Amino acid sequence: MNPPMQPKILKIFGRFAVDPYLLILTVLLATIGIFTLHSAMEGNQEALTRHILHVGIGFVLMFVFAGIPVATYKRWGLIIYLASIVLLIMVLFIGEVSKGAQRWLDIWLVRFQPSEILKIATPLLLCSILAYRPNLPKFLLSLVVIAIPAGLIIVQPDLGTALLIIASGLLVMFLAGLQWRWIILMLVLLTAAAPVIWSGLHDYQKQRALVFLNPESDPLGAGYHTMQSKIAVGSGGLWGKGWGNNAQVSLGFIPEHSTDFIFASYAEQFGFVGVCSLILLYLLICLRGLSISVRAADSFGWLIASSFIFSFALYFMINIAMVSGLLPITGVTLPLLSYGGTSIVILLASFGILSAVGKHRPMMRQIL
Amino acid sequence: MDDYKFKRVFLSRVVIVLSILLIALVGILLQLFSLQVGSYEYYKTLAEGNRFKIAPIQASRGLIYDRDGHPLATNKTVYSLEMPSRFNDKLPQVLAQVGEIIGTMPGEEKHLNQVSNYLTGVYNTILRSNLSEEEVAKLAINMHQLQNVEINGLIMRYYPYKDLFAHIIGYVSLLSAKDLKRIDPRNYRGQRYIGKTGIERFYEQDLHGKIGFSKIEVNAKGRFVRKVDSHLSKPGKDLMLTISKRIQQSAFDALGEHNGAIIVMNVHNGDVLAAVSRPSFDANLLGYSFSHSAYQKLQANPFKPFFNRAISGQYAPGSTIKPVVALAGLSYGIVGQEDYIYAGPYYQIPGQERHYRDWYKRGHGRINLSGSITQSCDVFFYDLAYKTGIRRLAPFIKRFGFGKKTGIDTTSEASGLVPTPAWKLATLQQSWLPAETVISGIGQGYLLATPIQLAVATAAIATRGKHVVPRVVKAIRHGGEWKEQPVQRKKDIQLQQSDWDYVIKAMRNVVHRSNGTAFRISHNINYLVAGKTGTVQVVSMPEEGEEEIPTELRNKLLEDHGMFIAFAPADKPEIVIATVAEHSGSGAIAAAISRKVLDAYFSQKRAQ
Repeated sequence: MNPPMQPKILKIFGRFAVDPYLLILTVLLATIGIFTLHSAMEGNQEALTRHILHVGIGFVLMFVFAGIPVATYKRWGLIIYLASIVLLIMVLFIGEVSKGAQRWLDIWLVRFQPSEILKIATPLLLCSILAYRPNLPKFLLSLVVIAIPAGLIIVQPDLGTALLIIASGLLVMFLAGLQWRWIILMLVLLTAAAPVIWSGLHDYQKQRALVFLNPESDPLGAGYHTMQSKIAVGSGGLWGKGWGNNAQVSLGFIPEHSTDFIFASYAEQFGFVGVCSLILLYLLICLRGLSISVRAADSFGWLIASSFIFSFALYFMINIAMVSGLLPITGVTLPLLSYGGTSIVILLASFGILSAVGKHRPMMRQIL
Repeated sequence: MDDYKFKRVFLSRVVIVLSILLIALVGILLQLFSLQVGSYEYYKTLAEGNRFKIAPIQASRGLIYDRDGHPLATNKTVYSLEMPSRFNDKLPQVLAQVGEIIGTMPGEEKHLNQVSNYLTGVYNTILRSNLSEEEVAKLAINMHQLQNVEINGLIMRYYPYKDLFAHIIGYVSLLSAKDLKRIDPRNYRGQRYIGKTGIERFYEQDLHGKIGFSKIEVNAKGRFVRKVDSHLSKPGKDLMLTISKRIQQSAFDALGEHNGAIIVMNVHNGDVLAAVSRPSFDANLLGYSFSHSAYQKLQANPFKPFFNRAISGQYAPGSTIKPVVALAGLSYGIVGQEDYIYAGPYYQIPGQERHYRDWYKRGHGRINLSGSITQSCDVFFYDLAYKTGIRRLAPFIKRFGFGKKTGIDTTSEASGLVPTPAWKLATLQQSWLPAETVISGIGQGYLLATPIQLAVATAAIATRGKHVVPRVVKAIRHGGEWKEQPVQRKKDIQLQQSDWDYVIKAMRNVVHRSNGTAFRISHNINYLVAGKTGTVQVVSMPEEGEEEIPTELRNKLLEDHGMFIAFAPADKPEIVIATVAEHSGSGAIAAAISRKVLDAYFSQKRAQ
């Protein structure tokens, strides 16, 4: 069967066409992000401009990646992964420290976080491993594939990102059909290892978990962020204070207000109505992504698309949960809204990959 | 087929993950709803609380003037460098940094003051007080280097005359926990200073004014962002005192190196024209020019410079009580105006051995009441007191205001003591001895009086019975007009006109007759003075079996106190003076001191 006639606009972009729904939604979200950041950064033009630049780069990459055939991803998965690991190791030795963690690399005028690359490189490799006849050896290999970057990132120390990589990796394994008995075994092992893990945590990480359970116990210290965040969110009310009126944030009550806690600024300005609208947009992206996933041509497509989209869902839900006080401070940023160059670029790139998957229509009979 | 099965499993897994995520999403939405809609009011209030702080606006303290309009207590803005006390562990570094910017002060770490802001409960450590303009500028430029410090401007009390009015006006110093009990804390939010003694304390409510509030927006560091709302403060009321700076200065200088007190008072309305106490101290040392070492020295001074002798000093009146005792004798008919006795060198209670000696070793010889006043004959008064008896003498003395506070409008007034048998039994659990009656006649024994009480009693004699209530504040100004304070009077002391005349004449002779104990001061005088000297023993005369005479001030010096009371002009009295010159040796010296002050009063066209 010939592929259906494609709309004219797509023809212009040709092979680099991005899924239109995804495009519209991400543009919308990115725009909201820019407006919110404008209030949150109160006049830091330089940073805002840098952010817009990154957004631009991200969209460019989105188109580029959309044009790369899916087969390429399958083939290059390993190499991309290994290259990222190398970069990650480089970070440990020559990395820049920022906010108490060594995460950044400054190479040829470009400053980025290799750990962000691994957020898609790892699932990519995993999907290519597990897409065909997943069996126990392959699952075990997957664990190794997950463990290496996770371990390197934990050492930075960046527990949040490491956990995310572990989570998205396990997600792929789960989606690929890991038998229940292995899942249960893993859970049991995890529970047994919990005390060991706890003692291995840094003090501040332990404190975050403890204070999470009772933020009021340390209002000026560790519980401060959560409490202030809730105050900012709550004070937005139903309709919000209006664009630009994020007093809680602009007066410095919310630390990290343009990165991890950007949602607080958004919630304060746009209220419950605004928050629901935002969540709706995220949900729509997820729906679109899932739609692409289940209609994908092959198992690799199913896996990679669903893993990306579920990870995306995980990110925004964890972040919102953290900002509204349901989870301890984790360091997970809000996708497309938070200020942070690498993450936006990587995210938009991943949507490009999604688009590529969506367009992939090999000449074989559709399953289901 | 593998793919088919795979997809099957895959889809089921997708459904599972999706369900979990959806449940979580519902949870999140519920939480958001709860925050933004359910508990909206709660978070809105917290948000307001975060942002807005109520900052107090200091009220300008009322000024204090003397009766001629000279400002005696003013306000000056002082800048200090402060740091919240919770950062005290960083003190050494901070002080080092400050030292680099404006130079170090030796030994400053030892005595840093702490102050608290009762509104926020924030305790600050004062790193440097009294910054000069230059230091303020240097610090302001370098503020970014210094963490957690701030420059605070405060309005502080300043006394241009330093030690001249330190006792009567008192001073303003740091609020302590004790002070909280006597004020309305709501009017003292963010205030550090309060009147501690004297007029500053007695009239604190009038002087303090009402603090204002400004609602300010702050950022997370508590730093001021902008003012949102404000209620202006109301300045305190100004006070005009009855005190005359000129006379106060002359009294202060006249007393010179002697410790003691001088009171100059208007006989008709109780206006206190001067109230001096020495040793004195620079009142600024408690506030504006606070110096810990200077304060310590003053505290350790055995002559107690902080003690207001004019109002709180209790002395045995000595011979200055004789005019009152004389009036008692006349009033009860114990003695007549022309009754003469033979006064030898000593007196004996009938039937007793003990000698009560006269200061004049030879004895005065044949003498009547008037002469006994003029020449201060002890023997006459021993006898008179004995015959009158303590049960009549004590109440009579009390009629002149002794043993009770005068009611002057300032703090720490002492009530003196008029001993009675009942008092002695109750207080010392001993019975009264006739000896004590006898020595009461010459103002010794348990009898104690303050200089202000002496002034009031003398004024009563001068006016033939007017019993005034002394006052220091003449008028209060609130806004535009001066409002005169009411003059208070106690019940007149009713005695025979002839009795008054007699005693007044005898007191005139003290100064203007050659045998008067204060005759020397009449040299070159152009107004008439009526007075009475007193020489008060500080250490009891050695006599076996006699009780220890309690004294108010314990000291090692053996010299007697010199005292002098007087009113002038004797024919048309305007003012009284009561002078105590500790350890000066004799009342004549106190009289000489008083002469200088009286001259100052009369030299100018009679000051109102």
